[in-house]
Amino acid sequence: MTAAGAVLEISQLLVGYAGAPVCGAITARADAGEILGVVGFNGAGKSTAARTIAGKQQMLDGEVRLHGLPVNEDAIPFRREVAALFDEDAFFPSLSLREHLQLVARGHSVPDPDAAVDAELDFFGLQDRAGAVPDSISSGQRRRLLLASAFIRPSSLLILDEPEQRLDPVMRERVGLRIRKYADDGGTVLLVTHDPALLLATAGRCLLIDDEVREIDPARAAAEIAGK
Amino acid sequence: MASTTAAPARFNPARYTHAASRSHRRGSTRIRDVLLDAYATLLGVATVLALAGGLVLALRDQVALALGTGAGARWSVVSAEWAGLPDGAAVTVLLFAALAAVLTGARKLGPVAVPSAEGYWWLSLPVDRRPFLAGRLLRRMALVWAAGAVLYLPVGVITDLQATFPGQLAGAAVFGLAAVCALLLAGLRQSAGAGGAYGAYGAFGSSGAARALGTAGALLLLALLSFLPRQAAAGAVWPAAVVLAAVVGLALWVYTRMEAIPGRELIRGGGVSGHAGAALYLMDTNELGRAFAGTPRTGTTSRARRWYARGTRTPFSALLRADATAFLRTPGLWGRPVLLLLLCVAVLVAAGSQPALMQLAVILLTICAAVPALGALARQTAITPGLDALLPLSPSLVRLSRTALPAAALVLWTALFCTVLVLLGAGSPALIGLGALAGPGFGAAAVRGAYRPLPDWTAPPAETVFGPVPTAQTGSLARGLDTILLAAVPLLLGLFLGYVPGALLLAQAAFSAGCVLMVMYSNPK
Repeated sequence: MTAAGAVLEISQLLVGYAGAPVCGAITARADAGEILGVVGFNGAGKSTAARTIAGKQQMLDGEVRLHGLPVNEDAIPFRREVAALFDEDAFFPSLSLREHLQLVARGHSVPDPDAAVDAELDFFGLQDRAGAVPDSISSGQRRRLLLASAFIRPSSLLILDEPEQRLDPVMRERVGLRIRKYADDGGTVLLVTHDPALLLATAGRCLLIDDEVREIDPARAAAEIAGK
Repeated sequence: MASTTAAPARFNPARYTHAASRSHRRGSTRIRDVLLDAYATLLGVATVLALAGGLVLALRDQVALALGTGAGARWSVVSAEWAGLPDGAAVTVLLFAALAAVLTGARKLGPVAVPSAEGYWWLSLPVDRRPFLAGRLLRRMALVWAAGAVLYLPVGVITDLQATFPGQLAGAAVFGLAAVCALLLAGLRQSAGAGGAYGAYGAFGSSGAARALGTAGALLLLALLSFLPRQAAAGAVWPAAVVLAAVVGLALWVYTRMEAIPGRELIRGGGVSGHAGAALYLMDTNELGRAFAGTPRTGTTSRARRWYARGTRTPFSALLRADATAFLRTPGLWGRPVLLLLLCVAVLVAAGSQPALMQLAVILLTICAAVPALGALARQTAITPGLDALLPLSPSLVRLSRTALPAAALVLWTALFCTVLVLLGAGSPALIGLGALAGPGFGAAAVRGAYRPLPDWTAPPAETVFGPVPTAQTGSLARGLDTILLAAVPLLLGLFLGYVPGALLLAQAAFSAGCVLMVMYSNPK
């Protein structure tokens, strides 16, 4: 078992493709209620690292432990604990937005799924289009639907890869508040972002991914992202 | 954070999605349209079956006539009587090759797979994945069984003259089940993951030697199964029982290991399946090739990198160097041509002395199947013409550069092919030179096929004395194949004659040069 409170432990993790690492070895830990920001330039390996930690990509070397157990995306308990959002845009063409969220809520045994769906639709401003199919809504609204699907289900680790993509400034701010609330309720968040405001509003600690991976103060990371 | 529940969710996402989708579709589907679609499909299938049946029966009569008169034994391209293989060996080799092709193809397509939407919305749920994965796999098994049985029928009818019609049906059913075994063996391979904790074919471990052992075991099983259809066609019942037992055993094995197949592997298979399905629907063979193409190798040697980085003097040499590097990095470049060559030789040897025209047809089919494999790079570049436009070169020079490497590779391949044929008694060693001269023509054909435009299904058919003919569509589909046939004419003539007059060498050089010029200067659209 890990030290008390440690939800995620990453040790000498190497990520990449075809045996070639895309960045330096990653060592980090995140406790319950903590938001760990991940920043870096385009192609630095942030998304690859996030996908690997979520078990969606084979790691080259090292170890990732969730609640003391190795990452295994094929295991049902792991899927119950980890909610992840990546740059995916895959929807059922004949399911409405409400039905997409109901699928997730029921699949995760959320108590009173209909109320939970309504709450998420309200929060993400999708209630007016709840009966529409994904092809008939905008790209930004589809992104909101994906975000809602990550928040509607129970989890103890939330991995978000650039959640600010395609969102308007108001919704970005709301998402920041929602991430903060998730952590305040005891969840752990791994947040990959290029948005300095979102990073500053949420992350308590921050990892800079590059040839060498190191921890950096979120305020300094936000200033670097903003080019200051 | 919402609280997590301990018990596994007893929720079937496939059932939920199906039920929800049905309520959306119900309003938009009209019974009249469904009936019309069914009528058109049935009519189309019946027409195709009638035409194919007529062709198959005509071929069967021709084969029976040739065997009855013994015409084939006197006049062959290659004579391999020394091999002394039993009757039906060639068909068994063909069936084995077909089963191996099913195994390879199924591995590319999954076979246990989910499309991208299911991959995102279903695979993240904490539910047992096996029920919805098994449902899809069962549908694929049924499809493979039906396709295998239907495709076996003409082969059985033509090659097994003694079998009765019910016997042929039994042989087809057994071959279909053998194809399902190949599919399930590919499914077992999936649970090994990409270097994951599970070994090849389940229980063999994860090391390289264990993977090789698993592959060898799978091929051995397929080799044994390829003997069974003819036995079933002869009236034996035990082959059906054996192959059915194999299907049931493998299906249970796959089901128990289904949960171990990584989600990324399921989504990868679904992506390839969707891509290939769309290509088939559009009858776009180039897109089909792209769907099945592997990821290019990125871990290049430092020598290759240094060679590529070396300076060039002209834009053409820069492009040629880039094309050469990309061509040599194409994954599985030589696999298909070499396997086809071996298969062709195996069929020629196993079939013994067959009529020359039949052997030439087998050789031509081999060439037609092998040549497009070397156009893989051209297929990739054909979809990004903007990159070619970056260099100050005319389209004809770009296509010449793109032809150079496939042509060089096909010079080697055709020369090797002809060497083997000469060793099998095809005739003069000059045939090797003739084959090498045909290589550039085949290289040009590979590139012409790769730049084939998508058929325009909206173009009206042209009126001819035979009635309306869809010339625009057939013209597009025949691109590449036309050039192969053109470049192959002198080579096939040389093989038919068994010797190579000087004029034939000159003709081959001229035909190949003509093919290259045609590819350089013809409008790809």
